Parts: sequence; C-alpha cells; structure tokens
Amino acid sequence: MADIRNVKARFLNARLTSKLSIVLFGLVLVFSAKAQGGPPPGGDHGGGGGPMGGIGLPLGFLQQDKDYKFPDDITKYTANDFLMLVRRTDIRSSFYNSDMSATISMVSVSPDRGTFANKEQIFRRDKDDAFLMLMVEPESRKGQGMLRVDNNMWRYDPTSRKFTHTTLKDTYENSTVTNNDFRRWQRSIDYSVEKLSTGTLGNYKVIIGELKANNDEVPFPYLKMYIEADRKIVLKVEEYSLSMKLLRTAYYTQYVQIGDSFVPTVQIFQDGLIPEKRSQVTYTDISTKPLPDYYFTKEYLERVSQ
Amino acid sequence: MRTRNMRGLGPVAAIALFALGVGNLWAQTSTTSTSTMPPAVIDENSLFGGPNDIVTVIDENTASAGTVQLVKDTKTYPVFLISGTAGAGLYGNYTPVGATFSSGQELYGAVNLSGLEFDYLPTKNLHFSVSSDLLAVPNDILAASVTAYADLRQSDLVRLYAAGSFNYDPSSYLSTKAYDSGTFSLDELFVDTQINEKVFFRLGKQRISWGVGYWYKPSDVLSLSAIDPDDPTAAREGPFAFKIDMPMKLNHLMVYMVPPVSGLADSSSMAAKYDLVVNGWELSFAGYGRADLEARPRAIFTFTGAIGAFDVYGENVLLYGSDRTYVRESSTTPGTYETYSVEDAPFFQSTLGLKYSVSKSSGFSFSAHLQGYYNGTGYADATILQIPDARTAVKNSTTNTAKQTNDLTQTGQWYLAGSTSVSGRFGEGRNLTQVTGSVYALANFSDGSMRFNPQFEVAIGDQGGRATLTLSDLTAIGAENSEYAPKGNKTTPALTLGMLNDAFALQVSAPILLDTDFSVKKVQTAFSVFWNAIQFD
Repeated sequence: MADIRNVKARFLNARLTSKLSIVLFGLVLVFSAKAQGGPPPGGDHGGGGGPMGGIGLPLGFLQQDKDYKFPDDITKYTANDFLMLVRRTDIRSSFYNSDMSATISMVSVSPDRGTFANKEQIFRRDKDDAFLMLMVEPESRKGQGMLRVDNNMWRYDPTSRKFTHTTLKDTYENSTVTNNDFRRWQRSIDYSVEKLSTGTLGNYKVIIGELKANNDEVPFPYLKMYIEADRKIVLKVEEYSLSMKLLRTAYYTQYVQIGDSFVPTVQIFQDGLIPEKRSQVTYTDISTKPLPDYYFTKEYLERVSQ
Repeated sequence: MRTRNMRGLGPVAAIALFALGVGNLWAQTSTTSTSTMPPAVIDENSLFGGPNDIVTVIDENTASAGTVQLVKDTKTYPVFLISGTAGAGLYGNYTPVGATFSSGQELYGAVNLSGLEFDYLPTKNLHFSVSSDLLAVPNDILAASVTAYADLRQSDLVRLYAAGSFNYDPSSYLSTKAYDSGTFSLDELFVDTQINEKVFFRLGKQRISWGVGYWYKPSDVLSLSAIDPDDPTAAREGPFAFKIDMPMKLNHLMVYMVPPVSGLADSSSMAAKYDLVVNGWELSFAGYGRADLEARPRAIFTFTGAIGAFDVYGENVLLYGSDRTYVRESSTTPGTYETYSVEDAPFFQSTLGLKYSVSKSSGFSFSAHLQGYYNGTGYADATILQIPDARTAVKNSTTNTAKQTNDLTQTGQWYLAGSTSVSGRFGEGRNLTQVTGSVYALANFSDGSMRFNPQFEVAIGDQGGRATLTLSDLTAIGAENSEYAPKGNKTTPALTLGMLNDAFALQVSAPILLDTDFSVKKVQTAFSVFWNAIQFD
C-alpha cells in the first residue's frame, strides 16, 4: 500500500508540477509577445507590403533618397549629404525588382593556417529580405548552409540533419568576414557621420567619411568609408575598434552594374591585427534570373545538402 | 585494454595506409584560380589605378536570361580529393595508483589518422565519400571510426542517399561514447523525390532531429538513440520512415509515417508537425501516435525566438501514459525488484533554455547558455536505478535494446544544464593570443549526479596556428550507476598541446577514480605524442 501511495503521490506531484509549468510557459509566451510586439513595418500606407517591407527601414527612406540632390562638388558635401550617399550605396547594392543568384569563391591566406578556399552559392530575393547560402566546396562541407528571411536565420548541419538559429554577427568561416558582409548593407542607419574629407584612390576621386556607430549591434564601432561620388560606389572601408585600433580594411576593387544595382564582385579583406592575413571574395558568376519560391525554404536547404 | 578482438582489423589498417600512400599520388592538388587569390601585397594604386574601369556593365536582359560568368572557374570531372591528417608517434598508459593485473602499463609506437577523408565525384551529381579516424599500435587497433556515404542525384530534389559507419572505441579515445566491440551501422538509406516542387518526400531510414533544445529534447520522439551529454550535437540514429513535407513559404507541414517495426501492422506509428514562423519566432505544433501504444500518444509544442538580448527556446510535451518501464522494490519479497508501467495517466515534459552572447571589437566575448528540464515521466527519486538488481529487472523486462536504453536514460524528473565562455584577445601579428575560459555542467537532481568540464585554452597565432594549449578536467560526481556518474566519482584532468598548425600534437590525461568520500581509488594516465607529418587541406 505504501508503494501505491508513493506512486500516487508522485503522479500528484507530477500533475501539480505540470500545471505550474504550464503557467510558467504561458508567462513566457506573454512576455515574448510583448517583447516582439511593435508597429508594423514602415510604408506609406501603414502596412508592410512595400518593396522594403521586409527590413523595417525608416519611413520614407526610399522616397527621401530618390529625390535627394547631391552637391556637384565633392568638397561641398555635408554630413547629411554623406549619410544620404551612404544610403544610396546601400540601396544600389540591392535588387528590388528581381532575384539575384551568384557563385562566390573565398580564398583566405593566413601566416599560421595557410591557404583555404571555399566556394558557395548565394540566392537573394531582396524585396522579401530573403537570402540563402549553400556551401559548394570544400567537398567535406558541401551542403552546409544558411537561410535568412527577415530576422529569421537558420543554419543547417547535414550530419545531424538539424537546423539552428544563428546571428548575423557571427564571423564567417573563421575569417575576417562576418555574415553581415553578405547582407544588404544598412550602414546609413547604423552609423552617423563624424568627419568628412576628400582624396583619391588610384584613378578615382573619393569622399572619405568617418562614421561612428549609433548602436552596439554592428561589429565595428567606427568606420572610415571611401566612396566614389560619380557612381556612388564604395571603394574602401576601414573598420576600427572602440579604441580606434584598425581591425580590418575592405577593398571593393571590381563591380558589376546590372540595371541600377551595383554588386562588388571582388572584395579584398586585409586583417588589421595580422598583417599577412587577408582574404578575397570573388563572384565567379552572377544572374538575375527569377528563382523558384521553394529556394527560400528550409526544405530546399535540407534537400540540396549531403 | 580490450583490443584483442580487433586484431582482424590489422589488414584493414594496412589497406587504409596503402590507400593513403596511393591516394597521395592521385590526390587532386588545389587549383585555386589566381584571379581569386588575394594579392600578396596590398597596393591601392594597383587595385584602383589600372587601365580598365572597375565597373563592368551587364545588360539586364542578359543577366535575367541566364548565368553570366565573371571569372573562368569551371570544375572538371572526375574529381578525387583527400583531406585530413596522418601522423605517427608514441602512445602509452600507466597506472600509478590502484593498478591491477589487467591494468595497462604500456608504451607503443602508434599511427594516428584524424579526419582522413576520401571524396570521389565521377560526375557532378555523384559523390562517394569515406572518412576515417584511427589509432593503431603495432599489433592492435586501439580505436577506429569509419563513415561512408554515397549521394546519387538525378537533380537537386531527387536522389538516393546511403550512409553507414563502423565504430570501435572501447576506451573512448576518439569519441565520447564507448564502443566495446566493432559496430557496423546503416545510418541512413533514403530516396528524395517531389511532386511539382510543392510536395517533397523522403522515404527510407533517415535522421530526424525534432526539437529546439540542446542538452534535452523531449520532443525528439522519432530519434532512436539518446543524446550524448558530452556531445549533444552529435548525429543520432533515426527510424525508417516516410516523410512528406509541404513548405508554405517559411511555414512547413511535415508528416512522418513509420512502418511496422516488429512485423505487426499495429507497431506502425505516425507523427506530424507544423512549423509556424511569426514575428521573429518559430512555433511548432506536433503530434505523435503509435497504433499498439508501445510508445504513448503525445502532443508537442516548441518555440524559439528572442526576448531582448536573449535567445529563448522551449519544448513542451503532453503524453497520455508513459513509455517508461518503471521499477520498484517488491512489497511481497523485500530485496527483489519488480517492474510496472503507467498507461492511464497524463504526463508532462517541459524544457526552457536561454542563451546570451556578446562579442566586442576589442576581442572580448562572452556567452552563456542555460537549460532546465522537467521530465514528468522520470522518477522523482531515481536513486533506485543505482541498485544493480533494479537495473537488471528493467533490462529483463524487454528484449528491445533501444527500449532498455531509453528506460535507463534521463531517468530523473528535474535537470539543469549550462555552459559559459569568456574569451579575450591580446597582442597582434604572430603573437596574437586568444585566451578562453569555459565550462559546461549538467545536473540530475533526481539522482544527485552531475558532471562538469572546466576548460582553459591559450591559442597563439592566427586561430591558434602557432600553438594551442588546452587544460580541462571532466569531472563526474555521483553514485555508481547514476546518470551523470555511471562509474562513480571520477575526474579526468587533461592537457593537450598543438603546435605549428597541429603538426605536433601532445595529449596527456589522468583519469582518477574516487571513492564516495573522494579519496583516491585509482589513477590511470594515458599520453600520446604525434607528429602529424601529412596534412591534406
């Protein structure tokens, strides 16, 4: 009898604990809903259906940029002009009227680790803020990938067949490149202008803006951007720590222009701490052919993996 | 050291080494295009001062009609690749305290293969791969692990995939699990197909990873093996199942049908899950049922998302009846044990996890991860399973080895697990140094057992390429047969040192068995030093 009583007491205990767990779980959900609640994405009509609906840019972002009149003389740029120039480069790196796909080669050279080469395919649908990356080489990692739509981001491990969430701040492949480098740039939102000057980079006259982050979500608190004013493309970016230590320099040495969009197809990253360490990202092919909807699903990521 | 039954594998090792030598001749050397290599020296005038404009204009119609090749980079088949390392050195062990007749006091010359992988791609859509780890001494193989797969595709979405493995690791040299004898397993064998790119099928034996937890995943009802507490992300065996997947943008409906496992129709089961992505959260609603109720029906709800700076996840499972076979002391014959089951009461399992991480441009980073688990199907007091006769009673209640394992796994009601890591970066150039302190810990409050592993690492050079020193101490505290200290109190201080991009690797460990009063019962030591002379990238 004593055993039966013990068993019953155990079940009663389990039931009470179950109810307590349900209450706790409900509280978590309520807090979750509150934490994530907020106004709908921006847009003239209050909804999120516009071309930029997916990434929650400030109201009138596109319209303000489209009508903005830049000074003819690069020495007359103000801080606000430069911020609008950065916005223009952000927008022009995107494809809002078509999908985009490309194959990307990345080669990293390290004095201690030697030379590593990766190759990936990327698929973008910027109007939905959707991005899919699939590892193609090395063969041992083929099929690993990442899917991001809005703020939902998954990584897939084909060995365990498991999807996991990750963040855009992660360093990409233990290199000086971060996942954020593959996202549409939003530096015009994340940084404010501290100082402006002009100069030249090779054959090109550039405006040099020194920027300071206005939030701590970005990987680098300070940036120094070199932008060619004529075509409004970024040629060089220096990235600094809070103590103004140069951590990385990015060079955008080749672009392709498709319609109004500019894609930096050769990007060279020089490590600031290890002078002999650098990497190069090269687009080996590119297309704006429409992509099937199922490309931007977890199922596709799982299917094309090993 | 139980290695005698592996002598038959000596020829296998010889063949592997021969293949390694021959493969070295065949291996495709890296053919990275020079145009994709970063420049040896950064010269801004050279980068931006060339005769050609840095902008190439591509016609919109051309780009939307197909793929535009920017750099000539065409892969030619067949491809044969080798990656991984092979080395030779010394391996030994010594038992300074508590040695018995069978205790090893040995020193060997040894060969070590680590992550040695052979890939063969006769065409773009066919891929055969074999990877191996091996620790061999002159007359024996101490540990071996081989995995192989074939990925035979008709297209992106239609393929046949097969994967199998062999493991032998009686003293856990290569893994966190002990494989006392050589074990072959068919890991996966399935066909992928689809209808109109709307409905997708995966038919066959497959790994299925449900749930969002890390150390505890009560909603992972279809996996057949338990989570390894020291390697929670390791692949786990899955069932033979038919999977139907209907993606609806980011949302998914998945239905699994598991055909009969015992030859009887009512041993079949079915599971369905719907993933709903809303406002930055992924919510999953699922159900599971088996016709013969050998596994109890259950409803599942999981969620993952973020609250402020914290990543949050949770799993909740409601069962009617418990799958577990319980044991209790017989009321009629004290000192003997009887088993029983509970089939007519609801049970609840719930886990909640929090993750936080911060990384600064200064090189400082911090992360913390905590997961709690209430397991309603467990014992409030699981210490009864520390009694050998009670465990035997549970094992004797079924001939199904998977069920035996499940009945003796996660036996408690209350669990807590966590990990934290702090890292800092110092210096620059070749002297760049990364110092990391971390620890993970797991506790079963229902049987009083726990294990934790503090670790301290110093990495010098880029990603520790010059030298990496790691000190760790995996410690288990609890009674014998407890969940996290199955061999009683034990601590294993260990040191590993890798130098020159791991070309030189030293490992020393000293497992110490402790009595219940924490006095030293037995001390073993093991060490290995290898020169990994062959490194394929």
